[in-house]
Amino acid sequence: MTRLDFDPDLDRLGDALRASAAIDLTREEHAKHRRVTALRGVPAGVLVVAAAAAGVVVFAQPPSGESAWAKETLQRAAAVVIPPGSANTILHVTATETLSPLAQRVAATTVSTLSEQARIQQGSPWGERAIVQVPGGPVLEENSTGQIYNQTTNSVYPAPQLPSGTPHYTLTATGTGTGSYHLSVTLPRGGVSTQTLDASTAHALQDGTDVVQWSVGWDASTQTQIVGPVVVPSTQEAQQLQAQQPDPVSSSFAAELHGLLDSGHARVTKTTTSDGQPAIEISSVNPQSGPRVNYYVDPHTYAPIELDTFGYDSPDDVTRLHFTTYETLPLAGNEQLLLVTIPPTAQDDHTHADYWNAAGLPKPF
Amino acid sequence: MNPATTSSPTPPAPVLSSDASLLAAARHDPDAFRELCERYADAVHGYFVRRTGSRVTALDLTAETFAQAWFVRARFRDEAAGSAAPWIYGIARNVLLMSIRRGALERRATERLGLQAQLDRPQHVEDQIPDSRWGDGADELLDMLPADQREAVRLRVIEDMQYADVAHALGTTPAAARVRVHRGLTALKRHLTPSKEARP
Repeated sequence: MTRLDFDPDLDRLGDALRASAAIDLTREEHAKHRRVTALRGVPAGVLVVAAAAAGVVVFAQPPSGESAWAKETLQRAAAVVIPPGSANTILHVTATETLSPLAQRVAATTVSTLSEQARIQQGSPWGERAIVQVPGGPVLEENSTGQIYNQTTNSVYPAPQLPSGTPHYTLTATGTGTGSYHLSVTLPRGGVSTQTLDASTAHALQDGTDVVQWSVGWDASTQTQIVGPVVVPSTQEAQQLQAQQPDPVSSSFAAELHGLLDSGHARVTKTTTSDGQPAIEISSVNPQSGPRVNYYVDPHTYAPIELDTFGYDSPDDVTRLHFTTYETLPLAGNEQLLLVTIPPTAQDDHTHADYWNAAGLPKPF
Repeated sequence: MNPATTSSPTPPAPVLSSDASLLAAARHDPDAFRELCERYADAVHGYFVRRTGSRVTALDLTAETFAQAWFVRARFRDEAAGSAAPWIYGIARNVLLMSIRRGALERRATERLGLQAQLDRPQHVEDQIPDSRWGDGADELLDMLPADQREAVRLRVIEDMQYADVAHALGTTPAAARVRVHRGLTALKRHLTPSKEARP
């Protein structure tokens, strides 16, 4: 976009800002997704049971606007939202993800397609076993503690240890009159980490919207593992984020989708098929956080069939998550599904770089 | 009906969004943020040119101002009848003063946003070392306000203080502080709202 009466340098700045902002939005979204996934165990969810819906209606005609059809669909979404899941159930999910070029760029990966099988206990202690496979790449298994087993090389990468407890911090105004603050945290092994926060982040810490937690990460430029404090949304804030982005591997998915429909932030768009399966298309409307998503769900159970996440930069930039298995199993008799079976011949690999190489693979959920 | 004699309907006047609604949309819409940038880039650039005397340096500082605005856009509070002018001016002023204080052009937000690469321009070309004289008159717009409003706006918008704290600093009540800020922002809005906003 160029305006004849506008300084060309400023016009170029506007275009560059727009492009950078689009990439940053996608980056933000990935970060939120990771945070929300990490907090999966926090809320008490509700359970989707595959055979729950009675009086199934066959949808032959697509709706036009917010029709009686759409209202009825909304009511039926509520009908399948039934009692909360518990630690006595396991959600078993298999899915394939196809990453858009932009998503690949943000995740700094050349992987475009990968598949994941996950078994997730739907209550405390939230046991989990996930198996991720990249075509031509390794097969990796991960459990809820973050330990990774590389089936291909028969190696075990122990999860990095976080310091115990929550960081003790002090927040002081910089005194420069710029509305910025210093966050100082005493590190577990001595020394102090100091970072500058803007006033709004400092206020969010003061009012409890954000909290300080320990985090462990990898600095690719220096090839070192870093343990330090990080400012993240509080549990309550994360729950609000989660409510705006239904989590397909949570038993509360149908409830969250229903909440989104009820609030007007999503609407039933049409009936369709996905991979030959009948499906309802539900589209997010002006999402308050995150990108626009099309949810394709089973018309009877509201179990997810496919999620299409659209990039901010282009409507053609779509990351597609297609589910081939989606079932709830009783824990009793299926406990072994949560266990990563590591052969006695497996070698422990304590090299940080190897762990982070494995952990750095993009994962659908 | 003969098409040749049919007059074309008058195209509808473009709907102008307030800055506040653009910033709300910019939470998930880069185009909205680009439009906001278009409204204020000229004014902000002019402000920096007057301070630094260099078009190129002013361009760098303008980029930093909008990069910072992007990162804190969610915390924008509409306190000037939909105008973001005082808020953006406050960020620009801070960028300028921070550059003077650090003795180098403030670029942290620009770098964090990856904006330099998007501009496809080598970094640090024609860099000027910030001069303390750049700060002279940095409050040129606030100086147009009566003293009580100037201080109230400075504390609230630029220092980002809560009304209770502004009131404490000024020795008045929070309600009175709010009135002073509102009057000051209304006056600033008249000076700062660019004429471009009225263009189709």
